[in-house]
Amino acid sequence: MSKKQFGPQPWIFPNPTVLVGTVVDGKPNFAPYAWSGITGGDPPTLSVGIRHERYTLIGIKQNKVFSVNIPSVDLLEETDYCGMVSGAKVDKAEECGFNIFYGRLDKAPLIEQCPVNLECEVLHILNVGIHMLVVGKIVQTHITEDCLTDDQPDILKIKPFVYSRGPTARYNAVGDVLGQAFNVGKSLKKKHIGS
Amino acid sequence: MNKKKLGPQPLLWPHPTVLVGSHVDGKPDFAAVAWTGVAASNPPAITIALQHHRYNLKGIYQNNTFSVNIPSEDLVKETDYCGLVSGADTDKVKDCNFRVFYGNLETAPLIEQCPINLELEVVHILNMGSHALVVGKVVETYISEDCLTGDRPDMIKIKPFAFGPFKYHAIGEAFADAFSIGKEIKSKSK
Repeated sequence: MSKKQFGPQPWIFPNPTVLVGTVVDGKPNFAPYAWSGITGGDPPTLSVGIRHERYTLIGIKQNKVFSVNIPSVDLLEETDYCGMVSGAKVDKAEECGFNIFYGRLDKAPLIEQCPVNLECEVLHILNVGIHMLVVGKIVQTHITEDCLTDDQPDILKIKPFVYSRGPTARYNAVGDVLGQAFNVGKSLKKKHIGS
Repeated sequence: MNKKKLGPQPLLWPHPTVLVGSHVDGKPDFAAVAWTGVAASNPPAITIALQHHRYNLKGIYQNNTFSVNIPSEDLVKETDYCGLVSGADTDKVKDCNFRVFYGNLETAPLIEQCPINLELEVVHILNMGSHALVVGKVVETYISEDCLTGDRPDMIKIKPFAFGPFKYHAIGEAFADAFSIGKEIKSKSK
């Protein structure tokens, strides 16, 4: 076995890339995060790991609400930019030309250009070292109509991208379908379990 | 604006696809999980969400340790199988021909064929309604040596895949460098 040990590393691959939206001191702000995940299905919930000193965390603590916006590959440049500068210094929404709208929560700004927008209420904020784990309940989901196929969200139309740590930090697109889930493993199930 | 409301949906795409390992009643078991994410970097911590009745979760409660194994595209059939059947009914390790090894934690089974393996200790378990959210601290990381490029993990060699929705997707070629492509807007706004 040729395995190499690296000490403790946060290596879950692939990582989605999202823009977290908050209102800080009355002004909308957005920052990209790759360390997020779904944390439950009923009610739908998610988590985002955010460093203590981030401007975004100020807005989350002020209002106990936030948004998660899934950018498409067309917004790659804007997403990367939002990770290079702080909302304490610049108005990222203006500089990126984001059209902002609001749904149920008046302190969870949503980006019209992002194909998917989630409005979230804070459920938990856990101290996990140099990050805070913010767990939010999704209260509404918005999707751009042309990203639907037969009324269902279509990942190939949404065109989300992933953040990858490799030789350098990179963004990768979502590629070809490898197989149908809860289906491609059925041949093994037939062999070992029957039917 | 052409937006449609779908009600609350867990629509955070793409989802990673991992095999969570635990020891249930002394025996290694693996479950396929898409609802996972990184929580923190120092100490490195991750989350996984499992429905309360899951067999694999029983092992996590029994030992307070578990593993996360990142399968490559070559293991898509075995991964799907691990999501179709319960460890209560069959020995998934045998059915999938997984070669199991152990590191520091004797109740966190690792799959040799998976290019990345994380050994974890439980730090929190939160009740999220339908799911239990397990927050784990990574105590050791293993990577198959042929997935390294210049001593760094290379996602193109690891070949992880994404779940969403009801299909597995490969990860495409890198199309931009992070903390770099946005510099154009940064220089414009200065």
